[in-house]
Amino acid sequence: MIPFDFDYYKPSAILDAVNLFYKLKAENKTPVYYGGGTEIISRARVGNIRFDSVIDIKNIAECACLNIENERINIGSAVELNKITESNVFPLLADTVKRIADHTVQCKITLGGNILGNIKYKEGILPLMLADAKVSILDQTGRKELNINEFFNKKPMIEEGQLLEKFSIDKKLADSPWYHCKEVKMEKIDYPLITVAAIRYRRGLRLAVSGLLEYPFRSAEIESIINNNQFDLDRDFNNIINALQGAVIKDKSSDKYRLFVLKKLLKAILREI
Amino acid sequence: MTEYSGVVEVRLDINNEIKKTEIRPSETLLYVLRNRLGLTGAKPGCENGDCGACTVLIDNMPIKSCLMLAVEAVGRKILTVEGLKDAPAQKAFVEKNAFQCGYCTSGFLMVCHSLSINHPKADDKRISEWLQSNICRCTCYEEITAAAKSILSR
Repeated sequence: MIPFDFDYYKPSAILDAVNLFYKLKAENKTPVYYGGGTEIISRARVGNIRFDSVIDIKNIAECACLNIENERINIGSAVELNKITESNVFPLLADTVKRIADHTVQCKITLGGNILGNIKYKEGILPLMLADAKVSILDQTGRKELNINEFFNKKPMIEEGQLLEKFSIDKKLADSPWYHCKEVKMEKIDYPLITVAAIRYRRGLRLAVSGLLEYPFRSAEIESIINNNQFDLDRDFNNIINALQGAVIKDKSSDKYRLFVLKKLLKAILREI
Repeated sequence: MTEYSGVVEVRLDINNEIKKTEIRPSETLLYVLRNRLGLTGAKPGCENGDCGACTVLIDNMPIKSCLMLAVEAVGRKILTVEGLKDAPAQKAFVEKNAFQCGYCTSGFLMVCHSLSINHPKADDKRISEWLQSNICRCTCYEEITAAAKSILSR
């Protein structure tokens, strides 16, 4: 039970949603955009967040799109994870989101919610990083299209009031050979020790990782080490560790064990794709 | 644009009947089913989306009703365990002894019913993926899996 009241709005036009957000802010209200709502409801129930207006974006066609147009895959921010899995338009993304929470919750969590939420793993972003996704964002000044690395650098670079509309992915990249693995401590349904996603595109390997650092990342420096013709995993693994841009997470396992798991997964990636 | 503020009257399509009720936008579907409509088949467990005891079907897909606002369900078809009415999943749970205390049963039944509608030829992997959404503290997992398999035409 959520211990406070709020107003609920369900616009069907994207500009109505954005304009409503700024109108409510101007009235000193505290609106939130609402997709699946799983994290908003959970956190509101225990008093971690409070708001007085909810703007549900699921009825907005642009945020609910899941299609292929002109060789680009469009996935709206309000598309539920199970729909991405069932559509299989982007097989690596389908496999990745299939391991977020459990199947029933995947029928409610949206791709935008997974990436903009408070939980640090945000595994849905990994395939989008590898596929150089474009990200559409709307605010009062209009629509902006960002590269994924402009949109996400350790955290989503989105300001209050901006609405995440959709992701657009080049089908060629989405159809590349791929590998995904989520390693957890014990139960299958859990946050990851490490999740890796990789694609091989034009003979180069692209790698994105969640669970190793405090944020999901793709590193040009690590990819240049791996893609060196002389690369030897046993010899060069320390170079990969030295290229990490932060401390390895120590909860659920030691940092040494996480690095052991990373090395094991890198071996699998090099073997499989 | 649809707007709800304060106490509002809504019509919910539950078990193929239109039910009128007053709700607040902040009320979860689980709360409204149990406390405003008297449909106590969906059980409150963790109320955090982990246990699955509160699972209902929305447009034939399983949803944990503790993680859905009742206002989100307006205009959609809600099916609770009360609406199953001797569905094959219920008979299978009896035949396979797929419960002990029974608290998780309605949630598991809804997942199995949805699986049989959406994937009548589901393989073991899919059955396992769907059933992992729910927890049974009496650990009847073997029997529940057997019940699920028995209603799928594989």
